[in-house]
Amino acid sequence: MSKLALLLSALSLYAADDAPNWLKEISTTKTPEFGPKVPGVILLKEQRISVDETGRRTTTTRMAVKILTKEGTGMAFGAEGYQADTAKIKEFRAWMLYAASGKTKTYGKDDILDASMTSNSGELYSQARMRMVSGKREADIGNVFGFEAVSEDKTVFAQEDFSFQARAPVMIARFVVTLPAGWTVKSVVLNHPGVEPAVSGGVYTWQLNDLPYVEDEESSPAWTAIAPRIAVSYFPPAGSAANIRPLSDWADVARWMSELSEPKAQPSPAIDAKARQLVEGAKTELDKISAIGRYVQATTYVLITRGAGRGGGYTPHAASDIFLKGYGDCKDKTTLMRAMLKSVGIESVGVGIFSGDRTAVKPEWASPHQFNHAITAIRVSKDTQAPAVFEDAKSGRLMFFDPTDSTTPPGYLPNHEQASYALIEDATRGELVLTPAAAPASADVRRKGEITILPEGGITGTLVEIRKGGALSRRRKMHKELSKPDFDKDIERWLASSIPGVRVKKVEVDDSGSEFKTTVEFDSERYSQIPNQKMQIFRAAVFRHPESVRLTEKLRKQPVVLNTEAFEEEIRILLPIGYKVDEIPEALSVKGDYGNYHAKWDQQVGSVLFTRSLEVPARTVPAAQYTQVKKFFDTVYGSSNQPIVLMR
Amino acid sequence: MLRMLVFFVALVPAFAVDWLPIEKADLERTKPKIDPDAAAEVIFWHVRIEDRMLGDAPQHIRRSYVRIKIYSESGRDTYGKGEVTVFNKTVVTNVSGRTLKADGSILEMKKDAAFDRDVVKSKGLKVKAKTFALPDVKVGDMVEYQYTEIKDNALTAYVALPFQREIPVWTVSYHVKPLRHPYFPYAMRTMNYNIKGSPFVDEPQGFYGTTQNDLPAYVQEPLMPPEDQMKAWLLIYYEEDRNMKGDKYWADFGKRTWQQFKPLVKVDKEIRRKAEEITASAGTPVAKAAAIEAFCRNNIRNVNHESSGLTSEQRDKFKINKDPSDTLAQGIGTGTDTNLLFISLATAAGLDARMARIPNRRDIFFSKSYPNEYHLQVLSVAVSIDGKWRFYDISTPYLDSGMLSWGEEGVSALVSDPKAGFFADTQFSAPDRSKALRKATLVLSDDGELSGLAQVTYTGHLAVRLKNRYDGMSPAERDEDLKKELVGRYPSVEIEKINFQNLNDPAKPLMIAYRLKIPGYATRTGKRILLEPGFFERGIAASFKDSKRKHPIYIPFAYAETDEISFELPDGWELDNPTNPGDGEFGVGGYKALVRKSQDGKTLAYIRNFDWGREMKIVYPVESYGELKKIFDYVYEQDHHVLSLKQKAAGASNNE
Repeated sequence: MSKLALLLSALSLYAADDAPNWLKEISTTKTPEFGPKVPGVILLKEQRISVDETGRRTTTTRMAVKILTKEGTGMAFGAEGYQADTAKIKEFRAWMLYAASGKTKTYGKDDILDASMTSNSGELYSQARMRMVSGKREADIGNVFGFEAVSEDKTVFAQEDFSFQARAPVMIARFVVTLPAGWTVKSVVLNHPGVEPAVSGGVYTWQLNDLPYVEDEESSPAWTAIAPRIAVSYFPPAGSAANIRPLSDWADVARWMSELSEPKAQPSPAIDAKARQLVEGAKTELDKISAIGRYVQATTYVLITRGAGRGGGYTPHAASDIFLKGYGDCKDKTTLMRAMLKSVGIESVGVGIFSGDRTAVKPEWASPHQFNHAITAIRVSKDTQAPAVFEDAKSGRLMFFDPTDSTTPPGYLPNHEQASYALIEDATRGELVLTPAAAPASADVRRKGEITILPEGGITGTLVEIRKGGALSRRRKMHKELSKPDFDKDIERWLASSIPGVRVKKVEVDDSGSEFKTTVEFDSERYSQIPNQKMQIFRAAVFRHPESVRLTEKLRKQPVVLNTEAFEEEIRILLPIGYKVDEIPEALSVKGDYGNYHAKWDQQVGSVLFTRSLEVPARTVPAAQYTQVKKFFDTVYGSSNQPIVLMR
Repeated sequence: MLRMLVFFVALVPAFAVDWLPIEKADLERTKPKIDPDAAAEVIFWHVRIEDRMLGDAPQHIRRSYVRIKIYSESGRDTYGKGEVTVFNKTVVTNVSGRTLKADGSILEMKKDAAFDRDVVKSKGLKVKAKTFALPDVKVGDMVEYQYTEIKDNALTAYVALPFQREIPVWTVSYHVKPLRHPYFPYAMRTMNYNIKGSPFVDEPQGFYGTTQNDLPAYVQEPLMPPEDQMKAWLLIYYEEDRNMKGDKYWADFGKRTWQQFKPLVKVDKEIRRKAEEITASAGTPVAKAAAIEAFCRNNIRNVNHESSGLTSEQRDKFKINKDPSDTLAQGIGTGTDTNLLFISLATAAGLDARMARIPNRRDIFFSKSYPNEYHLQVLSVAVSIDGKWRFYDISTPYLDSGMLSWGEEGVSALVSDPKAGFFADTQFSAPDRSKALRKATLVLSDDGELSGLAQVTYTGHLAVRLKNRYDGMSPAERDEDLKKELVGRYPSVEIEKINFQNLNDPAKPLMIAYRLKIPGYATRTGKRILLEPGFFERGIAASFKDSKRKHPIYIPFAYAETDEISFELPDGWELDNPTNPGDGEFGVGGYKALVRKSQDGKTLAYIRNFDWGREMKIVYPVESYGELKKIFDYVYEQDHHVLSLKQKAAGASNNE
């Protein structure tokens, strides 16, 4: 080997354990003092996308993170997702810069994983993958972890979405798009005051610096609705050879999605026959929709995604196939639902929506990427009245229905899909609309009980609970998924959270379709407390109502998300013989923007009648109103603990 | 091309799809056979396992055939599809399935309903999955599917196979064909657990088979013995065919363990010098062992544990210790290194110290009647002290002196010996070795607010559990963790000045102190203040919520709690005929809570003592659940005892 070859060899060996200059430079960034809760700081979060004349994208992702605390070690993680059908990872490298010694570790092939991504437990197949590397083992406090990935993608989509940050603070966040000459770009920055790009030729750069830590607070919107993001759509000039589908507004998106789904939603003779059989005897339009809706809801959920990079994630299977196989995902169920409705003369369209967070979809950016779920909008007449009915001049009168949610009855929408932006996927009348927020009464829980307090402090009683509309979904799901003994046990555990030593003697369920009724008989040897031999103390609010909103911090930075909730309770409490009421709470009534609550303890001969009701509308309360909303819920939950004092 | 085809055929044996006859009664069945509430039941689950030679290398083939009856929508959603996950070089092949409709028609699963997925790929690791969905499954139908797993260069090495599953099983059968080869001196062994008799019988083509019928679903409950102790299962493995049984087997295994570790516990000059130094002031064997234990814990850092405080670069620099002197010199070692050093130092100090193999009752309750080393994988040290064997484990951080990890206490350990290994019982720590001493000095306001200082000290297994929980957390995260726990109990609590002490010090108990304020802790009514003095127990859920139980109850270790709380009462208020909470003596434990008023009536003292698990009574048959629940419900009730305070008559003062 020549001297030169030896030297080159030595240099390459050195280079193998050396970090790239961009990482070395960024690692010297001076960072401010963060509080003890901040586990690490992102020094650089950068994505550069270069699009060529054919629409092929090359994406370079760089990230550098400085570890600040022990739990921050998990932040030493680099990942690049890709759709295996259209994309491949060309390069993937990572380094750890040790603070103590100044040395560098370069991660090798042994450290890199390539994993299949599944979006939920019903997913049977997907081509979504992630290349990843973890530096957790080497992530001592003060170390800097960096990674770089280069991928190439031939997707049909001409839209990008970049988050400037998640929760950790970010020193420099940069998004760069390079387009061929003649191409145009449209961008919108979400969750942050406008950021204009620096433009140089076809290079567009958006940059944000010094983004503070986004703290996770209870009942707050998802981080995607809080942290700054940028959404970019780009457009080739007319006559371009690029194999992409530009989408400029919501009507465009609706048209494109309709093109994918409409041809699949056609009934076959078998579907026609089944649909007609299902609606036999149905008297009203809603009866027909309900019969078909319940059938489709009962179809097994199985997600199979192929060709996502080419729009496969938005393309359902043909209704005839779905019917034959008896399973499908949300867009398949919507497609089958639509085909069956068509068989009985009812029109419908597909709808794109975000399941799980009503604040996720931003109307400013017209993109199918904002949706993770498909539901159905059914054209209904004025005869059909239901909380999920929507009407406007463009789309007319539609009733939203989620055929994937197997427990929310037709006429209602699950709570997390109410007051949410959704896309009516109509080729000619498509538009983004806000789904109706049902009145609190539509999520109705009514309880009626009679209990007896025994002289030794025990309790015996009966409770009848009726759930309707949005409120019955969870209980019905539980009843469907659990065996009878497990369902009864779940009821017993719920009672045990407020009645020590409770024994459930009987649980009866009556699920009529529109109502879910649970009757429970129970007893316990210990309920009321006995401070001395003459006194008994007990809470009239025997049955714990789940605290759906729990606000414990004194101060708040993020808005508070409230879900629709309504319940009424009437409990007659028979007092032990020989005791009389010595103290009883005063009636309470709170009315306001966050809800209405009333509680009343009515002393009667030998008994107390306890009534309470709560109504909470679905809304997002600004952080500035935190003190007031906290006070409301503190009052509501606090009143449950008000005792009745008996003396003999 | 032809050669390639031949190779492929040899690699993947073709199995013709062969379905078993369908019983009409099974098709017509609408109610479960074993459990009336089952969502689905396995009608049969047949597994054929064959180890064979493929050329010069072994090959492991496992063929599964399952038929399931669906009784509910949740059963359909769960069992209407399947997934087979395999690692590295295992191939899943010959997947076929069909839906047997209740009306007798049959729907075959088409090829496009089965998928191959690389779950994870890396250098040296590949996890693959075959997923499939059966067509048009409805409640009342049956589904059946078959698949074959083939792994090259592998044999049936300690393979655990379940008899019980999460749904009831009508019939499960395993058919195994061991490898027979003139140069393979091992015999296949099987061992079945938690099921009466499951002998393997000869079958055609060199297979042996076993069948079990009518098995209920395996369900889990809180505080139950480990799964391997409760679930019916089968272990298959190969063992050198030495035909040893019972005591002879263990004696031999103990001897082999001695031989394995003897060269690794050399006593050289440096070890001897260090042993003398460490034990200089220790007068008794037990004191010597304790001094060596403390030295090893405090001076040798466990390279594999968070408690070492080593940085990743320091860990990377760690050089493998060849002998105890190396460990001593380097001050860093693996868990086993630390135990070997302990043996070496103890030997140098004149103690009889040896390696011992200990079963772990976190996994299974070990029985000597199973001659199999599978359950004796943990290494600890046995030291003969005053004619008795005591056990030490330096490799497990945070243990108090003389204690073992809770799973290794109170079990039969195999002590290694140059002639014949033998069993000795490991120590079991009494309740007061694992104690929570909880103290608080609190002030009660007349609006019900409680404020003051709380301090909790943990020892023994309670301390180990918490130290392990906290050692991966930053100070801020620990504070948050504590806050979260308290907020769960008192939503309005405000805490500050949180102080964790001795988190990494194995010799000292863990101490957590904090200042608190809880508005509305006591309930203020028109005439009274209602106070629960059991501050440390309030808001903690009852131990046993369910009125019925299927499995025995297993409390992992004995423990004790002592609460000492003082309440300064608000001016102008006094106790209204207070009663003491009840007390109880339960044999296996005890409870006593007392309320005492100071002479001047201004303060109230609450003292509570509870202990459980005396004399190693920690496992209770399911029949005793009602009685046990009654005791814990009683304790819960006493812990939530309420005191009523009333306003003093005008003119009266707190000085009575």
